Amino acid sequence: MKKSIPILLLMMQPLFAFWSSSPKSNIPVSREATILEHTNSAEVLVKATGYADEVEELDTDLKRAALWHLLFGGTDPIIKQESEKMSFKPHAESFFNTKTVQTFIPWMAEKITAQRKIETEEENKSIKRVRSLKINKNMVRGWLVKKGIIPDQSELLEEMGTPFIMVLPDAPKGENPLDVFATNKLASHSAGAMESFLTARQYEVVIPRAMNEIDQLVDLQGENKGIEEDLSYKLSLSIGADVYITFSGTVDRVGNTHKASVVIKAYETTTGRALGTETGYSKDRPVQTKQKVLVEEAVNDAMEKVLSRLTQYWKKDQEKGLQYKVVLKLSPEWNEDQRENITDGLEDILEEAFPKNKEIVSTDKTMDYIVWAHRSEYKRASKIYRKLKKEFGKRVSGGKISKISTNKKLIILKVKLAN
Amino acid sequence: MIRSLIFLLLWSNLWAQEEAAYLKKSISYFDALYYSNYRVNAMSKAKENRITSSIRTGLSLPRFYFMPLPKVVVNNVVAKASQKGGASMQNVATWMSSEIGPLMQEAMENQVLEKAQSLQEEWQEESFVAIKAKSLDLNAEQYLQFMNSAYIYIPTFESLHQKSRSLKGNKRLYIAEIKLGIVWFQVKQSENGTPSVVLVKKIVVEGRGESSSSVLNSSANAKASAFDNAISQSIENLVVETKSMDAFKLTAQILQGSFYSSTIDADSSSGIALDDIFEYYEVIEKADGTTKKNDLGWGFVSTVGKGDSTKTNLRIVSGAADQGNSLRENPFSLYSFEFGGLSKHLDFDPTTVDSARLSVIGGPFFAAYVSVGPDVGFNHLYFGIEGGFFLANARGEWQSPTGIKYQIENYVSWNSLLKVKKKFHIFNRLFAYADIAGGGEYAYLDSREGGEIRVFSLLAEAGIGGEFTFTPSLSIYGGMTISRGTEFLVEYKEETNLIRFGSSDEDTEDFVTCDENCLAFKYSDIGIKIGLSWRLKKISNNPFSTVFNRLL
Repeated sequence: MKKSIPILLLMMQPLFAFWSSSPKSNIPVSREATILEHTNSAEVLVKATGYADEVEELDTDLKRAALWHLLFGGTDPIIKQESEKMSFKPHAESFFNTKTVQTFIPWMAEKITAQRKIETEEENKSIKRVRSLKINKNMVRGWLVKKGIIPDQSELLEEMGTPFIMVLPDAPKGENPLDVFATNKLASHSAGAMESFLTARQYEVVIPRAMNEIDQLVDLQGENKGIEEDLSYKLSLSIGADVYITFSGTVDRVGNTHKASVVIKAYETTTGRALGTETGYSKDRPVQTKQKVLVEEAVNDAMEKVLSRLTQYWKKDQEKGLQYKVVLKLSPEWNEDQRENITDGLEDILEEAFPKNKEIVSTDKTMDYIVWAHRSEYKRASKIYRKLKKEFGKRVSGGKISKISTNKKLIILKVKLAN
Repeated sequence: MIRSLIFLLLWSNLWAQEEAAYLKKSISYFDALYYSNYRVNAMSKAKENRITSSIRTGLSLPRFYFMPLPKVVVNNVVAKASQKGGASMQNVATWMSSEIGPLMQEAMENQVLEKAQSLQEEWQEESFVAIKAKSLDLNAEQYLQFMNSAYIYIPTFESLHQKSRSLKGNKRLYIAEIKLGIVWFQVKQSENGTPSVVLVKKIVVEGRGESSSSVLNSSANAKASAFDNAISQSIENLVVETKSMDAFKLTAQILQGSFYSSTIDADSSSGIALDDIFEYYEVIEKADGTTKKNDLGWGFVSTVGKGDSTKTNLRIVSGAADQGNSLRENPFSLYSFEFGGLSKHLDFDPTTVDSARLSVIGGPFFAAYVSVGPDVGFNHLYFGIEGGFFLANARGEWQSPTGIKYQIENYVSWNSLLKVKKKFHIFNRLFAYADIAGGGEYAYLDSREGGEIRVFSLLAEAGIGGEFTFTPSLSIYGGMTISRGTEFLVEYKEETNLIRFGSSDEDTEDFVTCDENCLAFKYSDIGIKIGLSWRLKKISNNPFSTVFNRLL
């Protein structure tokens, strides 16, 4: 009997080992992945490397590595904030669970890009495999939102409204950007590609095709110099876009290949502030490849990055309120004292009625402000006009405000004697 | 720093394209024959054309695209290369760099979007460029790879020997022995777009052809046939040699691997055929970042994908394949040979021979097979000829039609059979086979009294057995045969006491055909066969042609 005890213990060793060993973690061994392309607004093509000791586990690890890269890697990861990272930690195991991972991957290449057996002592790293796969980024975001790790952007945007964006080719100041469309077919193709990209993300987009679309009222701003000389700015303001995007690009030949590069700049309409500038590139492709294809590829590359910045800006700015440009034209009959009273009165009104305002220009004839108005209070520009008119009547005796014109972003008013 | 650079290079290579993907090569050729030895007398234009057109046809493989070169340019280079004193192929390459390189480059550029699809990685078919712009998603690296996939060959003539010798029956056997070759050049493009032509390899092969003249086949025809057969045989060898070049070897990847069978990512479009042998290997990354290939085993193509939902499957013969392992072709000729020993039980019909005893006969056999499976759509199907030579210690008493009784002493026989053989893969290195055969068997018997008996029988044979494969070319097999024979002709002579293995005209005059009381064998007997099978890379002489020219 005594003799048989050690044998029995020996036989039971695997059982003990099974009990004592902790279950294998779902966290990827590999962190190697790169985004090949944003194929469409929802899906991303990724090339990832997986490591394992068994061939059967390689695909699982490379899928996890690809997801890890989307969550935390690159310049625009899904999880950015430290707080979001902390919230993700307890959910990491379930996120990287094989079944969950599979739900995010609509496609994986049948062929393996490369596979290597590695001469290494490291555990779980004796074989590596490189393979391409597609990830549905929207589904990943949905999972994270559901778990409360990141805020629901679509809800946020629905609440705030998506920005209204205008797209125009870049032109030197004073020159008409619309002329570029007439002379450069790649420019109109690029604009179309951007429009397509933005509408796929449910942004409201407009590409002005003729100068007469500029509302003449923009010119009523009169003496303002600087950015107002920029026709793109004027167009954007005239149309009432929240943001305007300008672009320029080239297709260069290197040897027997072509490569397109497109520079995309996004500006805040009311201030002309640059929100983001990105250059997108196509791959080096044979000269036989149509240039429109190269340009569209470069546009997609740049847009993805610019849009990420733009969304960030929009989210932040919406907390302060929507921006409106308010231009007040003063009648010549006002004397200096009266003008001071009007300015003081107006400043008080703006301070009280809106969470934030900024004076741009103040001259004898014109007063130019940007005001931030909460969407809950002021759904349209006309409401701002009504508020100003009402408050102005109360505070500035002898004067009244009348509307010259309003659009989505611009309110041009006239301050005159009340008779 | 250097280590990081190596790693970077390896890494970029790793990301460049799916491993083991075969890129079809674009081939141009000289429709002219280059005499390697300028002292050799030139052949007739017709013969030269026959050679160049046969090479062109032989190399029309699905793994190549063919691009004709302008005649003027070809003539120019040929003229330079054929200048008295001969020109080295290195010089030819230099001339071609300036004269043909730019032309090939232009032709390749015009075809890149049409023909470079196989270079695309799978994800590129899912990319924006492919889906939305419906364009080939090809990057600069892949483009350069395509531009470097152009090759040119020049057919060369080395030597030709023609001879003849007489056969019995006023026939004459014409023999042609030819040595042909091709020189392969690669058109390369530097990163700045400059083309150059570099010498890759010269292949020289031999071919031997035979043809016999007869009443129905004039001497001139026989001579021409021998020449044609020699060319055909040499070109078969040329094709195998070409397929064996690293640049032209079909390569693939194992998509799903197992111990028994694997699915691979290649189909009939690249020329994969049933029974093609592929070796598979893994890539090992060493600690310093360099890589080496480690051979794992080999298998044969059991089903060929047609580019639709059907997949190409590789039956694993040696080792076990894993998903992600790479494959490379190991080309062989269609011919294989077998030799071994056969022992079978044979007896006399007791109604013709008293106290018969001829139980066990045995002897060696030799067989040649040609694989016909890829042509008819079956795996491992072979057509062959077999010849055997057997001895037995025969005993029995036979009474000839003249009434003389002969005590049979010795038995010797040889047979020639046409065979159809089918092999079945069981698992790993083990195959089963079944064959059927038909042909004729000569048996000679001599007697204590001095008389001789000669029997010609029609023979049918069937066999089953097992085969163990050592390498793609060598295997051992063993099995059972059952044969059924019918005496077609029995002859005897009652004078000589000798058994002759070859009969002369004088001997045959002595033999008398037996019409009654003829000796008969019992043929429905079981035999045991053991042999070795050897599949060849190349063969200079077509065994079927050799046998048929002598027998028929």
